[in-house]
Amino acid sequence: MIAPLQKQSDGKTYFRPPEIEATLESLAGLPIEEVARRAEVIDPDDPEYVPSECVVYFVRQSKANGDTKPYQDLFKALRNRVRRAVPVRLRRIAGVSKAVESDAELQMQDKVLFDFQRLLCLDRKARDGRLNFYEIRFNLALARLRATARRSVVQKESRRKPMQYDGDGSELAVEMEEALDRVRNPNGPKNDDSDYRLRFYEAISNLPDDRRRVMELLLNGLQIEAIAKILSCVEKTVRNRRDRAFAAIREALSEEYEA
Amino acid sequence: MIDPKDREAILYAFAVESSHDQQTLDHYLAQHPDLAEELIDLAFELRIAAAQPPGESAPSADAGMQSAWEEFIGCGVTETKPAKAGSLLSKFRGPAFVELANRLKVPRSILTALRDRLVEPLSIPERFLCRFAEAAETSLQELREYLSHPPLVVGTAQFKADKKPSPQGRVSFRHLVENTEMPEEEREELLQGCDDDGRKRG
Repeated sequence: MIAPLQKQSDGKTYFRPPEIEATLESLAGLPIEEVARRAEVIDPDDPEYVPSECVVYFVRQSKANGDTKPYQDLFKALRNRVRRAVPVRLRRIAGVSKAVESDAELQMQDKVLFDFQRLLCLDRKARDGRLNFYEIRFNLALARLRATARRSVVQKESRRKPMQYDGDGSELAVEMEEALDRVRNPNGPKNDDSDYRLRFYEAISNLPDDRRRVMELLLNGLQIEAIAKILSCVEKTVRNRRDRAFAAIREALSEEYEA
Repeated sequence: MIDPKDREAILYAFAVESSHDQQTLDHYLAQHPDLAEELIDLAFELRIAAAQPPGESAPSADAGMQSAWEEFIGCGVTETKPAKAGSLLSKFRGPAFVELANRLKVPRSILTALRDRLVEPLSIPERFLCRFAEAAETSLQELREYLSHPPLVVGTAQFKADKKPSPQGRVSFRHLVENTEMPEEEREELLQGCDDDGRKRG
């Protein structure tokens, strides 16, 4: 019998999606060793794949079942799912012969793992409702920890590398508006370039918080006036942040590298 | 002022919404203007996560796995073990101490500073703590507990910082590593994931 889960927030009740409930019901009939073995499968198209939401459910049952070896294996599988959701990729950078791991991505992964572990421990001590969201939509819930980690990592990186901006105005703005349009409308003509979109987002991800937020709101199609209102600042500040962000993004996009 | 728990619940609720289009973001921003920055950060994170291809099929070995498991099963134990403030590293004497330093790839002076709890515990990167716990054959939780006790008063402390230690008698991990002679490559490795200002992450 699967323990029911529901999470209330903001007057709305959240449940596990029906397909997760169904998978849990069928897994509950298997020996835990078998569930643990299947949790190691990482290809979602594999018929034996166990969704991460279910892995969280079983790890939360560990204490009640004596923390036996299969639960350790499930715990290991869960950590691997977290690590895969915050990937550290090897990059080949122009002029550097060896592929290197991104230091910022390594720090992100460390921080997310650390915070997730803390969440698991808090939940084990006294049921922590935050973990319920990981049984509802695991990868989306993990974005919460990624956001916190990004703030911490980018802050440090920006202190090391002060952003340069020479304010070369309108030409850049036109170029970037075109780029924004290309990213916002992925299904438009000539816009099916997922690699370009990812590089554009990665360039934004390295911006200081205030500029990154302006870019996210621009990507959502908001106008300067609305952005200023949301961020509680004057329109000129928003334009300055946008221009600095544009300059940094153009510089990042011009750097040749292959992922 | 929203209660921190409610705040977290709202942010998680936004994260697990079935759609993160402009309408959804607008709704949350209108309902929770004081959470605007965190909601926008989250919206961006969801955007980049959706665009990113999944990580490698075989990510590098998880060095912290065993310590993490031990920490996990150690949580929620009603009867906590007494803190082994003085004994955790006492078995590493003489050659065993040298071997531990070698295993950790750190100069002995750094290990001495850690043993004597002269390092601000919250400034030590998680990555290194995991390696340390494994090499010292202890759990992450016990190691954290050990390091959080006051510095040991020993007459043989070998670590000497260039600058006067902080008023609490401790230095940050970064300060210690930056002021210890060692190959540059090992220094960089040790500083990975290290906060500049020595504050705990998270």
